[in-house]
Amino acid sequence: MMRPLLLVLLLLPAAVRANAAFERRLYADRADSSSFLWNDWNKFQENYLPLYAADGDPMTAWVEGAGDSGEGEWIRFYLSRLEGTEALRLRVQNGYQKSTNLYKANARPQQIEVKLLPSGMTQAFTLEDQAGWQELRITQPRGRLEAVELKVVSVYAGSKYTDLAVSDVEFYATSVTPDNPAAEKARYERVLSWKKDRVAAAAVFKASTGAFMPVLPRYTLKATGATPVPDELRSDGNDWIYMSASLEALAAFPGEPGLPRPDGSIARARAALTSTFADFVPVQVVTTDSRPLPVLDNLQPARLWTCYEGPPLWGDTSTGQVGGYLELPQFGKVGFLRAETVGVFDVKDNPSLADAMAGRPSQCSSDTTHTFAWAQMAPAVPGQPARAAALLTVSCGMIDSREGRERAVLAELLSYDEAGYLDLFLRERSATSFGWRGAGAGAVLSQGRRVGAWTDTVRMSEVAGP
Amino acid sequence: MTAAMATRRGASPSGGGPGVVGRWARSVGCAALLLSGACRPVAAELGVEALFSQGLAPVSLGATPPEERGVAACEGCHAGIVAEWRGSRHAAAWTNGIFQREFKPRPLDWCVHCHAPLAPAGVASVDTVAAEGVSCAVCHLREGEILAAARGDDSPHHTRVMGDYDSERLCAGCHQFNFPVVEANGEVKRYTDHPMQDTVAEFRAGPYAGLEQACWSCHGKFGHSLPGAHALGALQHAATLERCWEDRRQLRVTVTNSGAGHKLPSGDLHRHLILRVWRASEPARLWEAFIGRAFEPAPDAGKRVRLDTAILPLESRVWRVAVGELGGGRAEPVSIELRYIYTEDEIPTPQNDPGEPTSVVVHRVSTEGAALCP
Repeated sequence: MMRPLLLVLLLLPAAVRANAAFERRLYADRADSSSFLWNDWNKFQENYLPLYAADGDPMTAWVEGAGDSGEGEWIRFYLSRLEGTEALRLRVQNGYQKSTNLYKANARPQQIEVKLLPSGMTQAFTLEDQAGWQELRITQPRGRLEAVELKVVSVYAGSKYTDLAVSDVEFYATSVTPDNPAAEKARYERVLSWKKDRVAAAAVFKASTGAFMPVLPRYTLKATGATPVPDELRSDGNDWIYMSASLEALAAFPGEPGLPRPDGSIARARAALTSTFADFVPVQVVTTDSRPLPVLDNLQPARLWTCYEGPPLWGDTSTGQVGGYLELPQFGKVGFLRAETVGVFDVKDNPSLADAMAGRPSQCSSDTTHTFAWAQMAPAVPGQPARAAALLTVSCGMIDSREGRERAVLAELLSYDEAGYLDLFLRERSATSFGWRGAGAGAVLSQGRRVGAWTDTVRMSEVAGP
Repeated sequence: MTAAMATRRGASPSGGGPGVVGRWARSVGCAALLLSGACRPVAAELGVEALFSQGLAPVSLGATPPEERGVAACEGCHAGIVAEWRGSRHAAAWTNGIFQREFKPRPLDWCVHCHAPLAPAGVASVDTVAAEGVSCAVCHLREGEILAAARGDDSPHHTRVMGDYDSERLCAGCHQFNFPVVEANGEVKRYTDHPMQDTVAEFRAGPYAGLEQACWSCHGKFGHSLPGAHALGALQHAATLERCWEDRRQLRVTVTNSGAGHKLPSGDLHRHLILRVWRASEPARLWEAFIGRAFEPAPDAGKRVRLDTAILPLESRVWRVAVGELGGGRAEPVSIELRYIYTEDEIPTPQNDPGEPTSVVVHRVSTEGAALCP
């Protein structure tokens, strides 16, 4: 008797939900556009990206960067996947509503086409040339909603600029699917967090005290992929097996313009792993450029806990592509991107590599991350200071885990090309190659490819700068 | 029924359990053979506590033939029970996505001892039988003998009837333990004093302590499907949600642990409930209350509880929510939801998705039709 009653109890809520469509607010935490404006007002991309039109802040906006009237430009917002959706109401703050003057000075959409995705239902609307909120509503046969695209058909011309702007868009979907306010709140908070990172990164760039920053303000995900995990990564083995497998997975990719395969560093890494770093000497490392590397879209310093708690959010947070970002050495300092800004000094009290990898040194029981280093020196060049060709760092410390606190150990291998640029970076289960643009002190890290393994898949992310 | 079982039937004492005389006689006989190793004190005489080691070691079936260890050996005669078991969380103890997601990056033998107890040597020894998780043999088989609370008159088995088999002490073997001390090599040899899973202690401290059949009296209502936190019906039975208006601006929400014999939630350290109140037009302004345990690192290893808002058996917890803080229109109904969350991350990233639900909505109501509070 209990079982039929239980079945009714389980099915009844679903039956009720199936017939009662209601409206709920959705937040976009990813957005894409045909273009965006990158100029002196937005030098470090802390504004004008498409996601700024979903942040609920009229002080920021999406501004297209096509250089003409803005007609034909589009912006797409990614929403929570919602089955059983029959309508979407949008509230739009047209133009750049940071101020009355800016509203008039910049172009704003007049006629637009709103398209629901994936249904493709499209409807044309005419927006009023006024500040404040305007409402649109588009319906579709009850079905899935994942994204909405606004395409500009005609514009109200700006009094001063041809740049077309949209300050904000809000989304209210009518659906039979139960709403999930926690998920929507989390999406909104991700947007706010992303904004803070953009502002912080811009501050780092602006405060560079005249010294050139060898990274770009933003990187975009160009390609992703997944391959089956090589057997070496599935088997129990030491960290070097995992690192070797990741290296070989990366080496399988050919070079291409702007991102050559780092053959020299690959050969060096292979020899080092085969010999367990026999010709690496213990050193102390310091950098002459200790500026922190900012958290940028798709480029972030690694962290000690990453290999224990699973990968952090993968993906291009501003456009929605999911697949992986590039990691930089966990030192997190600009100076480690170039060999000439890394100083290596003799040290006598390094533990053995085996002890360091096992987390045996007493420093590994500390809450503060401690790093031991070994270096392979580049051939001496007369008149130039000695520099490292490769650095092996082993960082350790206590991290929070499920059962309490545990010792975490992270090994990283940094290898520099002949010009002294970091072109290969290995961690336990990922290998990354970097491509540089320019030369000398003005060189900038422009591209990268990461092959990362985490339990079941190997993901490649090729990230290129603007 | 296997030939080995048929043979054992011929040798078994008749009817019921061995009785005091029978046990004494066997002990004397066993003592004579003890040095030969042919006869060992059976776990039954030590009580159910001896059947498990609370994760310190795998379950040893001793002299049980390999062909009798897997579920298939039982299914021929106990198809109904096995079918129930296949829908249980015991059957998914090893394979479930939530466990595997936490286990894979850091595979400890200690985890295997409860999630695949029949693996004799930890992670590397999980075979198809061990991957069946907490299967029939884990609770019912030792040294080739069936263990149970009773023996049917027509049972073909040599059943060791254990007087305390129905007690909570059986379940405590895997559902009551402290945070382990994990050595540098990943071994666990001892525990801290800080409870990690405290379900049995919660039961013993509650109003149902001493109940005949203890855990089984509730979790065994549907046989070996053993519904618990992963069964919506069980959750809805355990927790009730009520709402009423104190006045037009304040909503009173009451959650009662009306049906669980232990705290709500209980078990794994990440389990928690969230009570949410919101208006659909303003999800970013939703109101939330955490129900569960929160931990901090303990100085002597493991973790200790720094916050415990789990609801005791038969306890009601009341919250008052100022609906004006929720935003939205005054006429817009307010939604209330009680959600049970199994993991630390209610909303996993796509790459970290365990492949099964990380939460379930226990109750969801709106204020439409809500009355004034009495």
